[in-house]
Amino acid sequence: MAIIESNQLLTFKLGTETYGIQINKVREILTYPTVTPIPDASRWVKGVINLRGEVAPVIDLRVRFNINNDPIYTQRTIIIAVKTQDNRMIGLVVDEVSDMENVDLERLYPAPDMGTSISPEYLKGLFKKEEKMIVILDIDRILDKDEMKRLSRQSTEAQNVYSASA
Amino acid sequence: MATFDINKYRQMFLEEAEDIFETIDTLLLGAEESNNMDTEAINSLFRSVHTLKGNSASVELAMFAALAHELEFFMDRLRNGELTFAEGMASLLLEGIDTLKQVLELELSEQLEDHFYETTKAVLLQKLNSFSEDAAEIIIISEVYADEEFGLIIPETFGDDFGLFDNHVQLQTDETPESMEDYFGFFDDEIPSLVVDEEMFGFFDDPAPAVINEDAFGFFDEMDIKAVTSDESEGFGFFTETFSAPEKKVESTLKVSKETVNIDKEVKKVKIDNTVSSIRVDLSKIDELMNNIGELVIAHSMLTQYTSTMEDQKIKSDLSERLDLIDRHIRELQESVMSVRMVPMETVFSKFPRVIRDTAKKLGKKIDFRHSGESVEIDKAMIEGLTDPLMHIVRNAMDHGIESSEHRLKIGKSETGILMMSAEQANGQMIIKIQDDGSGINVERVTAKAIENGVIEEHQATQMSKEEKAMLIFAPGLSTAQEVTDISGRGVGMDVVMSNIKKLGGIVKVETEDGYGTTLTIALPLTLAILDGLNIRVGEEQFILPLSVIIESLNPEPEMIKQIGDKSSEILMLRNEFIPIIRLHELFRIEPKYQEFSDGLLIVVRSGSDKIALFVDEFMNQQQFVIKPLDKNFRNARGIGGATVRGDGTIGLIIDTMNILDRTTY
Repeated sequence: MAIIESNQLLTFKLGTETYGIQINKVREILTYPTVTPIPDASRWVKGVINLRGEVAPVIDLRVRFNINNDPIYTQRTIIIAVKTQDNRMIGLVVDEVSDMENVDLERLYPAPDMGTSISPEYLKGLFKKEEKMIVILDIDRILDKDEMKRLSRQSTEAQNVYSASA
Repeated sequence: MATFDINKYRQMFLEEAEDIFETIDTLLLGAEESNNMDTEAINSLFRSVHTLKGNSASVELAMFAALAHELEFFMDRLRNGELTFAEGMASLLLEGIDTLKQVLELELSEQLEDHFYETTKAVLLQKLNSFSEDAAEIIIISEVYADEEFGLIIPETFGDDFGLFDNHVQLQTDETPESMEDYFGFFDDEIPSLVVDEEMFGFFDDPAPAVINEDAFGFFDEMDIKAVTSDESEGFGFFTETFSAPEKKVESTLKVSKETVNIDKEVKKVKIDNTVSSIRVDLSKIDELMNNIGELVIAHSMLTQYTSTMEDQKIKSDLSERLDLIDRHIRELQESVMSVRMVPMETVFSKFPRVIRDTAKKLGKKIDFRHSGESVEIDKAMIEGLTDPLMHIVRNAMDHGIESSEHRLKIGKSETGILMMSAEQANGQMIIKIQDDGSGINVERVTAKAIENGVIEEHQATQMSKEEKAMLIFAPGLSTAQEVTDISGRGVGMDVVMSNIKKLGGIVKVETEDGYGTTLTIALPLTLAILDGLNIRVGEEQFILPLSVIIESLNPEPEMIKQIGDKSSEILMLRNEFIPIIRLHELFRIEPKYQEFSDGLLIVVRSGSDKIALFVDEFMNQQQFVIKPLDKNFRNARGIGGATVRGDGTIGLIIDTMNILDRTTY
């Protein structure tokens, strides 16, 4: 069976830019619940929440990609719960959920090397609609296990250096 | 659609079959050991095989069903007393069950070739038949004599189908018997006519009622002896007294045929029995149920919160009262669902006696398998992941650990090697030990091999402790076996064991002593189990500390705290013991409420074989928690073992004391 990728996107904002992820990855959109912080985790890992009985980590994409390093969390902060290819539930903190868009994934512009906040390796491509530009995220790539492990190790080392010098 | 359906039912059948095979194995192993089989065991055996046959036929596994039928037939005769349990019979039946399993596998994968099947079946039948000694003797006799003298049609096969009964009814009237069974079910006038020829050999029918009582056919020791003794003139003979009631005979055979027809009914009955005691439920359904309860809890707490904002005191208190009631029911519900997931370790242990027996036989070693802790409960979801590694360890211990009987005797050990498996819940963990009294791991050889294979460097080896060296057996591609056997020695395996255990979140420890054996300890986390925990608070955060690791808690006097070196490490002196103190807030980088030990609380906990004292702000209530796996990819934090959903629907983190010490040693 051929892999049919969903052509529907859920678009949301991180900072000023509009991003999109395929709707079939999205499980739920929720407002900021009580997040239990994980001690000693990376800054962009806000903690864990209870997502329909599953313990799901919450990641702030804004912090992860240095779009906003000091976001404010309120009860209105939005989390998009996504399910990765390997069936892990993960919550993504975004600034606002915008819309749904139909796109032809075959006809995306390749992500440019510069000009986006997020490095092109994490992108599926760009999509232009009228005057808007939507950056389509490769969510499985961003949430890849090994990637996560690598990053969390890095950040702890950085923190260790910091705490040692302080 | 139809094929899809059959697969679904086949799956159900397979699950059931696995259990049945296990029951059969247990029964037969018991029989083999005691060299005896009581009626109850035989009946149970018969029923098991019977169920297999009936159910396999209903999911269109014809070959399997036919073979099961042969075994059932054999057991039926055992049950009827036609055959008596003899030495070697259990072993043969075990072999038969193995063949059955093999056929099942092949038939399922549609790789069962007719030729293979027929040969296997024939071989098995031949072996089975060899147990009907009396009958075999008779056949030989009749072959030798009857053939010449009477020109009788000689029975060649004799363990024939139930399906033949229909034939019997027909056969009775005019035909010569084709098999010995037919013969005994055959009460025709023709026979007496043969009997008449007393000069040579006579066939004497036994009193008919007796035959009828025994389901109308069979060979009886008694009869045979009688035959030999009473027909003195010619030596051998079949004694059959003239059968005077042909109607009865028909009735009796009909009774048998009816019994076969009634199979469906019987199967149904067995099934009903099963449903009374247990049902099979997909684990994911239980998880779903658990999650639903979680949602219920959240909804409840929302309602409670709303109630607290109400102004009318009368309504408020009435509502609170009812909400408390609901709360209690939810808790009970939660507990019941939790307990559903747990099964006793017996489920795991019961898989071993058979494997051990077979392996021991293959290796020509004598091994006594002992186990303890059958009643310790383990999460059903863990069993699958656990059985394979354990199997591997056991095989390894038998192959490489325990010496041959001769060698054991030579070095003054008892001839029979002992393999112990135990399970206990301790320190908030499931501890499984596999212990053998064999030769132990040759640590030096393992190390040498590891260096040779580039697993470690030579200079590393000099710094390694004996335990660390022994742990090298888990390195990939390492086998010190002098020769590769089909049981173990290829060097694949122990590394797989390690990775499987790690997958379950467990750790493995090896202790070995030259000449005295090896103990493998597997410590599995509570990940899937239910945990009694204590809520503790550090700053704004709450954590859960497993109750099982807590030794005591205290408010220390200043003189009990000693500082070492640069004051970075603190030690608690408690009754002549020096216990390292870990400030949880430092470990977890949390702003604490208290910095002074005298304000907060020290909780002394076990961490493996050591003790540590955790400094926390305060401890709160004690509670039961369902442990949920925590995505490991997002954290480095040692000291956190798992997570749980708290009563209010938020996530609570569970402290893993084993991990904490790891961190401090770094």
